[in-house]
Amino acid sequence: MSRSVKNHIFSAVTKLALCLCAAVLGFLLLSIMWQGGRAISLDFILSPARDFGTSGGIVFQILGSLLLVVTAALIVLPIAVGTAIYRECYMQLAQNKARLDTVLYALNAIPSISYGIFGLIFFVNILGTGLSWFVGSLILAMMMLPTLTLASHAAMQALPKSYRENAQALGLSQGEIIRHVILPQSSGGIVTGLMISLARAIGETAPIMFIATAFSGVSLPQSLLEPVASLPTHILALAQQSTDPQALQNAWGASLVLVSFVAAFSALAFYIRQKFSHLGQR
Amino acid sequence: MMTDAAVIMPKRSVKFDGIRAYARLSILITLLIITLILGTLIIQSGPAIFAASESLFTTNWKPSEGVYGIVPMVFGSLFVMLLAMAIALPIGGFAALAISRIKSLRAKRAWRSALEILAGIPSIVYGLIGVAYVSLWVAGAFDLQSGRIILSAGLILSVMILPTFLSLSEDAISTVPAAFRENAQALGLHDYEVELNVILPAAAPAIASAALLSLGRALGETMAVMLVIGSLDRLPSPLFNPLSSGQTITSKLGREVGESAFGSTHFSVLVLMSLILVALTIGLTILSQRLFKQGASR
Amino acid sequence: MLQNTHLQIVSDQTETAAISMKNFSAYFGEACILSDVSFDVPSRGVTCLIGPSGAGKSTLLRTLNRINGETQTASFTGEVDVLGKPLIEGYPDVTILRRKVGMVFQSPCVFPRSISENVLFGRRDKKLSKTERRTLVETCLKDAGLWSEVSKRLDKPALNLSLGQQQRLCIARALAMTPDILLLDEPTASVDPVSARVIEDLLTRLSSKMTIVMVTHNIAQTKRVADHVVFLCDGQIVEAGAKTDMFSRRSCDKTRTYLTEEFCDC
Repeated sequence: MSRSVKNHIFSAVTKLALCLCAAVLGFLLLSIMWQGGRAISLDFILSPARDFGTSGGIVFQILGSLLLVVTAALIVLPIAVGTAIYRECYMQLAQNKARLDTVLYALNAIPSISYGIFGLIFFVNILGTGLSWFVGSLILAMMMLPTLTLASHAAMQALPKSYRENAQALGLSQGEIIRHVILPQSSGGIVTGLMISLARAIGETAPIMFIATAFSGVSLPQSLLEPVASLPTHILALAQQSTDPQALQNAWGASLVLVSFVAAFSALAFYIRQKFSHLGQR
Repeated sequence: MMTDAAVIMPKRSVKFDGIRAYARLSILITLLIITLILGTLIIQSGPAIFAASESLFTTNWKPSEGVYGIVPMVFGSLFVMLLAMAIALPIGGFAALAISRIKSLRAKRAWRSALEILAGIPSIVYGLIGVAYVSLWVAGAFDLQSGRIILSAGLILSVMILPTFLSLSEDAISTVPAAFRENAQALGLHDYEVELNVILPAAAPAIASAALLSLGRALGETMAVMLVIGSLDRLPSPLFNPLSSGQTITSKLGREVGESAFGSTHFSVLVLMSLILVALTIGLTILSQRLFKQGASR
Repeated sequence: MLQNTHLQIVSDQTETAAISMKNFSAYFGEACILSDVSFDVPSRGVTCLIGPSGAGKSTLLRTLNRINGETQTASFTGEVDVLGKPLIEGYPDVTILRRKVGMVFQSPCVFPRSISENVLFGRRDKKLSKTERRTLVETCLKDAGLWSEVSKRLDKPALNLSLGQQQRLCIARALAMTPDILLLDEPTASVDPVSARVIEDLLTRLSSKMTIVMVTHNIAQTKRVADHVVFLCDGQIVEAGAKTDMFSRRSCDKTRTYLTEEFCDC
C-alpha cells in the first residue's frame, strides 16, 4: 500500500472517530433536552412529588439537592483553603508536599460508593446520627475536598513570586501576607474550584443514597438531623421503575433539571475564571 | 537602630500566628479524613476475613447459607472495565488526533467545551440513558429478552470515560513541542507518519496516565453500571460472554449495602469488596500520577 | 521611506534559478510580514538571508518548505517557483516538495531515538536493504562532518549528543532525503563557536552539490560562507546580489551600514 493511501485511510479513521464522538455527544444532549423538555413544566418544578414520584413534581428534590451541596460547600471551603495555605506557605520539604499530594489524589480516587459506605458505617451506625441532611453534606464535603484543595493551591501557586517578595520586603509577617496578598489574589481561582466541585457534587448519587435521603413523603427537613430528598436519588428510584412510562418521563424531567444545575455551576466557574484572568492581566 | 530591630523581631515571631494554627488544623482534618475512611473500611472488613474465609474466594454467593464468594463480582468489575476500555481507548485516541489536527482555534475550543459538558453529566443520568435506550438497543440487536447485560454496562461505561480520556489525551498531544512536528514534516513525512512516529511516542506517558485514570473511574463507577448490568451473582458462561447478565463490585454494593444489617458477616463482606475497590482505584491513580510526572519531566 | 525596490540577484551564472519569487507577500491575520518580495536564488551555492530581527527572513524561509501553511491565519499572495514548478500547484502533495527541499531549524530537534534511526527518519519511501541503510547513514554523517565523532555509537540515543552535534545530525537527517535545496534557519545560533565553524565548512562543501539558503544574523558568517546575499528589512528586500558586490563599495548606503555596523534604521 502506498504511503499516501495509508495517509488517507489514517485521516479517514481519525475523522470517523471524531464523528462518532460528535454523534454520541449530540445524541446525549438532544435526548436529555428533548425527553426532559417534554416532562418539564413550571408545575413540575414547583409542586411536590406524589405516588412515589410517578406524578407530581420535584420541588422538594430540587431544594433538598441545593441544601445538601450548599451546606457541603460551607463545610469544605475553610478546610480546603486552610490545607492549601499550609501546603503553599508552611510546608518546606518537597517530600512532605509530595506526600500531601498523594493523599489528595487518593481521596480523589476513592469511588463515590465507598464514601457512601464509610458514611453509613461511621456516622449512621457508629455515631448513631441516622439518615440526615447533615451527614450527607459532610460526606459530600469530603468528596469535594481534594478537588477544591488542589484548585485553591493551584491558584496560590500561580501568583507571581514578586507579590510575596515585595510584601516580605515591606516587613509583613507570613500571616499578614496570607491575609492581604495571597488570599485576595487567589480568591478567583478558589471560587472557580468551588463551582467545579459543586457541579460534581450535585450529581452524586452513590455517596448519599444510604445516608442522607429518603425517597418518598419527605418535604423540607426541619433540622440538620432529618433526611432530605434529592434529585439524583429521585432519578434512581424512578429509573428502577423504568417500565412505567410516567415514571420514566418524570425521571427525564428531573434529569434535565439536574443537568441544568451542573451546567449552571460549570458556566459560573467559566465566567469567574474569565473575569479574574482579565483582572490578573491588568 | 540595631537594638530596636533586635527587640522587635523576636516579639513579632513569638506572637501567636492564628493563620498558621488554622492552616495546621485544616491539614490535620484532611489527614484525619483519609485515615478515618481507610481505617473504618479496614476494621469493618475484618470480620469477613475471619467468618467467611473459606467461601470468600469461591464463585458462589448465597448469603442465606453463609456462602460469600466474591469472585463473580471482582471478575465482573474487571470484565466490564476491559470492555469499556476496549471501546473508549481507540475511539478516544483517534478522536484526540483528529482534534489536534483541527487548525481553527475556535473549533478546537468548541470541542474542548463540548467534552467538558459531556464529562459533567452526572452518572445517574447516564444510567437513565442506559435503561431507556442502550439496554433496549442491545436487546434488539442481539435478540435477547433483556438488555441488562455486561455488554450494555461496558457500552455505557465507555461513553462515560470517553470525554475524560479524550480531553486528557488531546492535552497530551497538544503539549508535544511544535518543533517535533515541524522537523518531521520538513523531512517530507506524511501526516500519519508524523503522528504515529513522533507525536504519539512523545505523548505516550501522558496518554498512558490518562488511560490509567479512566481505568480507575471505570472501576469505581456505580450508578450507571448498577442500572444496566442485570445483577446476576454468577460468573458468566462461557466466561467471557458479554451477552450474559453479571455483577460488578460497585453494582453489588449499590444494591445490597442498604439491605444488609450492620455488623453481620454479609455487611462485612460488602465492606471488604469496597476496600478492594478502593485499593485498586487508589493504586491506579497514584500510578497514573507517577507516569504523568515522568512524562512531564522528560 | 523605503521605496519598493525590485531587485534581481545579478548572477553571472546562466543556470536557471532554483527558487524564484515574484511579488510575494505574506500576512499573518492583518499583519503584513513580507510585502512584494521578488528575487531569484540561483542553483548551487550558498544564499544568505540577512537583516534585523522581524524582517521576515524566517517567514520567507518557512514558506519555501510550506511549513507556514499550518497556521490558519497565514495567507500569501504572489508567485513562487521552486525547482521550476509553482510552490502550491506544482506540488499537490506537500510531502514531495518537502523531500526535495530540506529544512534545518534554529534549535536542533532530534527525535528520542538512536543516532542512525534519526538519520533515516525521513526515509520511508523505499525498502532499503541493511547495507544500503548503513551506507546511507555513513555517507550522510560524513557529509555532515559527524561521522568520526559518532561512528562507534550509532545505536546510542541521539539525545546524548551535544547541541552542536545534534544540529549536525539534523543536517545529516535532511541530507538523507537527498534534497535539491537545503534551507537553514540560523543553523549556528544555538551551538558553540567551534561547532558553528564546522557547520560553516560543511555548508561550503555541500554548496557544490545543492542549493543552500540560510538565514543568519552573523555578518562575519555571511562573509565567510555566502555566495549570494539577500538583505531584508521590515518585510521588504533592500538589496540582493553577489556577496562580492554587497561587501564592496557598490552596495547602497543602508546595506553598507548594516554590514559594517550591524545596525539598521528602517
